[in-house]
Amino acid sequence: MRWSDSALYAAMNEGLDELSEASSFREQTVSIPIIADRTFYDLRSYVPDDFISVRAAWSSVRNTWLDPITENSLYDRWEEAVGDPYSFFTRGWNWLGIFPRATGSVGYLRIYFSCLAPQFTHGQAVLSDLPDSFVPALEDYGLYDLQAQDGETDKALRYWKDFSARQKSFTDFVATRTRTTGFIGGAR
Amino acid sequence: MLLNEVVTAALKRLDDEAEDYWHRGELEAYVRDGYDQFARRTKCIFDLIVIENVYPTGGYGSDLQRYLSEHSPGMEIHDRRILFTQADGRDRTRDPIAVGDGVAITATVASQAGGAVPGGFLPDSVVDVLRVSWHRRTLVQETPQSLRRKDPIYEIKQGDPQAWLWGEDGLLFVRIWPMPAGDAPYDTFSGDVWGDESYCDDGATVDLGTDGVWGILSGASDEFPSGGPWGTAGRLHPDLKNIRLEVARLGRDPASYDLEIPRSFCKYITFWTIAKALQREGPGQDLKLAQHFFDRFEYGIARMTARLQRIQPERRGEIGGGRDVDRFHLKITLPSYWGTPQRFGG
Repeated sequence: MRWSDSALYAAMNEGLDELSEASSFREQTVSIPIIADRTFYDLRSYVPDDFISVRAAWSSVRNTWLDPITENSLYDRWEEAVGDPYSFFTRGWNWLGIFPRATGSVGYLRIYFSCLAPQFTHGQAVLSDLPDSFVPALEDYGLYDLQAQDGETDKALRYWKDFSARQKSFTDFVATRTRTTGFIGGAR
Repeated sequence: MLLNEVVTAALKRLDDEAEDYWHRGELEAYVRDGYDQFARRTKCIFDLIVIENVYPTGGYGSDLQRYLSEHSPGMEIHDRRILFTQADGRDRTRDPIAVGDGVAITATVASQAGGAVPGGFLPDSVVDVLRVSWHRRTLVQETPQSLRRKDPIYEIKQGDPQAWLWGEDGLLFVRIWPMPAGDAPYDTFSGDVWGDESYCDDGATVDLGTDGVWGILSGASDEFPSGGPWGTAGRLHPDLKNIRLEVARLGRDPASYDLEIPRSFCKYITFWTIAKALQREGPGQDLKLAQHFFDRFEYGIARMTARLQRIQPERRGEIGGGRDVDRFHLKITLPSYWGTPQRFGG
């Protein structure tokens, strides 16, 4: 036997991480309590290690989504404003900023974020989020990784090329899926 | 992930866990290089630093005072080694400080003699300055050329700051124009306290909430852990009449701290390490595979950069969401304030 099951699992899990990170197909939520007079929230305190990026934020105080903005779009004295937050921005990869800052520690923000998909832990493990038609991408990645470790560069790069094509196809599918649903009541 | 974990992962991918071709010391150097490259090019590590709007008076009573005043422009949390040249210098951090004994945290509090503050130094780890604010107000970035046209004596003009310059006075000095008066309302100590600021109450500032005067400041709820989150808190910096900089910086030493990037992106540091190892002359060299892993490192740079820059107020206000399409024409349109639309020209 050339490669053990454990080596294959490890390689495919790495492929799953690569697909998750490239496409952001998996989302989770976390609730962050709003704290008085705080503008920046360190997401490292709330999100798991497999966090990738913030997607959206919802406020329990206003019962509505917060608008994502850039800090550059705010006026010069924005830090002096207080009130119920209605916008959010990010600084670095782990800091969430809100505008305006709250005066009281009331309510919470529900943060929607993309994260890595849970890894396969045994031979019968199933990942429900990943469509079956994209599972061969994991096979390509596993073979790429193991061939690279064996020093078979040309073979590895060939499998990488195949994986890249499937990864791009999956990423495009994830990115455009909301555009094609047109669900009633979809937000502007 | 720690440095050791990244090196182990790289050795595993190189199929050289026995270290026949590459040893850990060599790979550790590549990891540090890749980590710095990643942080510098993506600017993904955000931090706040403060240039204290307090006139440094000099006359430092100890090496600790001098060090904190000159090398830590407002860093709230520090855990760097400090060279003590006097026998009792180190004891300052353990012994209580009597009233009138001077403050071990910083010499700038000991005597605010007055005087303008032209600017301050940035730490070596700063990659980019994202925003500068004074008294919570954003300052405009100027160039020396434009400022010279506006104000020929800009280098000595005093007043409420309106702009900042970077680069004219050296790589790591930020100049503020006009110069503020050095009047930021910092806390002062009263009574006997320990070397680390544990309790402070001058009637006008926030009570840090400790019981008695013992303990180490762990943080206040509305304060940003600049330089943190690990380390010992030095002092609190007021926002009012103070100069605060939002910066992107390099990560801290990976031998002592976890990599400060998301765990999902740590693999790119591993890829850089593998690429450098495979590129190196000698047994095990594989330039084709090395280039592949360099390319994968570049993918990581591009992905992180795209994530940081991509803010689009689109579907559900979701970052990266698709464009709005009103397929079923169900959107409500409110009556116009200006009546029904009329065709131009009647």
